[in-house]
Amino acid sequence: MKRCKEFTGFEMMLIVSARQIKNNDVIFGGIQWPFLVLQIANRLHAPNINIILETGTVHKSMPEKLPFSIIDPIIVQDSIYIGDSIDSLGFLQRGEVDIAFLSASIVDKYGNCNTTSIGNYERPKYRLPGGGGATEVAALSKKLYWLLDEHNPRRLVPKVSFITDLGFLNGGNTKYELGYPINAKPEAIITPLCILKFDKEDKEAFLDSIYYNVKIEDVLKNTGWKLKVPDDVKLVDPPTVEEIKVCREVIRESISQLYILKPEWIKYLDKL
Amino acid sequence: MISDNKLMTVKEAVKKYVNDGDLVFFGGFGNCSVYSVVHEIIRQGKKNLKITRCAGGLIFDQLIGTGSTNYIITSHVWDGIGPQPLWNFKRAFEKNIPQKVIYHEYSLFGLNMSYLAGYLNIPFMPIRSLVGTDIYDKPESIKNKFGVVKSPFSDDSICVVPPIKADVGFIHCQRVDRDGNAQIWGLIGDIKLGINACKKIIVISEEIVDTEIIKEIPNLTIVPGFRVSGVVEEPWGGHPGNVQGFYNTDIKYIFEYAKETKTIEMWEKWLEKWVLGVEDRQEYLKILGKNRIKELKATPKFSHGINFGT
Repeated sequence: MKRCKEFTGFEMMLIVSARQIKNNDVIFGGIQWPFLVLQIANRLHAPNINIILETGTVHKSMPEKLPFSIIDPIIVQDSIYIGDSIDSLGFLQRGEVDIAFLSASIVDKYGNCNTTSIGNYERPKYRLPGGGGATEVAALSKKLYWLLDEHNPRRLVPKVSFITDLGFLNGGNTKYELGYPINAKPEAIITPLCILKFDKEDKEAFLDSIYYNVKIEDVLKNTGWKLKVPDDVKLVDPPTVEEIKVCREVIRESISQLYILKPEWIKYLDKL
Repeated sequence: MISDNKLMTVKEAVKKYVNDGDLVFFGGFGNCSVYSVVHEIIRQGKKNLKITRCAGGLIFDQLIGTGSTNYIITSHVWDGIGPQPLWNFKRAFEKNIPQKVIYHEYSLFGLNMSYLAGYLNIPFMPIRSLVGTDIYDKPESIKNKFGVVKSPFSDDSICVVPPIKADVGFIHCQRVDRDGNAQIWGLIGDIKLGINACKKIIVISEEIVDTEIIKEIPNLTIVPGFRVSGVVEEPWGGHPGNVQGFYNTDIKYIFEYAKETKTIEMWEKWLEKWVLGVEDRQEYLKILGKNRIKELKATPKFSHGINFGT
């Protein structure tokens, strides 16, 4: 298989995420990057995915054209089911969702996410929008993947100042002591440098695998806590030519749909 | 025989049914957002409103920017298309401009379940989320926000959310008859539960049709006429959001909104152009322009006829 050696971490984040999807999976998709991931997986290897969105719709695969968001009339027209938001979130609460993707703003070492505010809550330095349905998706999906588009200590912190979306709370069994289903959990944090997974016992995130051309020191330097590194850190296969082609095709469509991407994420866009 | 005594304009509906200090529900989840009502509330200078909907969006940003509200009950406030901030929302929470606003934090499921409790007139609804998050008990000024109760049937404990019943609610829909039987298709989101939980209901619609049309497919009726106090015909009242089958989301307008409201001066200019400086939706549409309206119009895609025979 022909591998591509020239790609960005952002592209790798999308491709690695798409690789987690199996055909026929029931997937809960969040806004922003998850849409690109679903579109890529759909075109590459998973034409029959079932997609649930918080607006209340269910889809058999993505529409041909990348929607600008979950509220795009194009994706609504392409749905096979339209219920209320409680219907789609109800499927989630029933435990029907195999795998979920959410764009993360700030995540901590136990997989909790903050989309509420930065600084003192009562007088925040930055007020963020709030979590919407991500609160439920994070807490109740069987395998939740956080997509973090920048790997730095401001985005990967030891402890978020506000838990909008619940990961493993304070680690160990603390989440499940509150009555959450034992099979509901964050599976990984996928960043432009690597994949972080969670320890089975204490539930702290550790370095599971790194991308081609990434040094472990770079990951450590850019993580906000002393990241645990096991002896057997895996190396992620670089993208195949086909993967990168589809990924860039979807990224181009996202630009025309007014998704905001940083120039360094798409510097090879004209190649392949 | 249906009388015409529910028919009114947006102006009349807001004047008659929105009082300062009321809790108001605004329908729309991408699809069918009640922008025409929001602009009229701003023009009439309503104050101290508490406002609720699951996706606050531009509607909340504008009501915050004009000081019409000091209390929002929602699960997020963003523009629905991309990671651009809504500036009035940020100014209020970061700098208390134009005033301090309380964010009654919710999750999407939690808020829908509170509407459901309001709709069904019961004291709480159980849900399997929220507990463990900071949404559960913040802000601290709101006491008794959520709770955890023990099941009488097993050893399980579960989180519960209280009912929300807005004083008045507005929805925008594709069609309604003169009695208020309102039909929506496309995204529903929180619209059905939210509006049915309201004490008084006003329906704004792209068109008013005969009851016979409603009866062709009654499954689409989201609220029955007997619950409705006012009926308004207001084509394009959902712009810049979409109304499925009528017009698409104006993503360009929403994208520009984020740029054009970045400072208070820019916001005031925007407000004058689109809201304060216009009399009603008709004038608003003139500013939007014929070309843009043409661009946004939906390409028809009809469902096949449904056999409702006996």
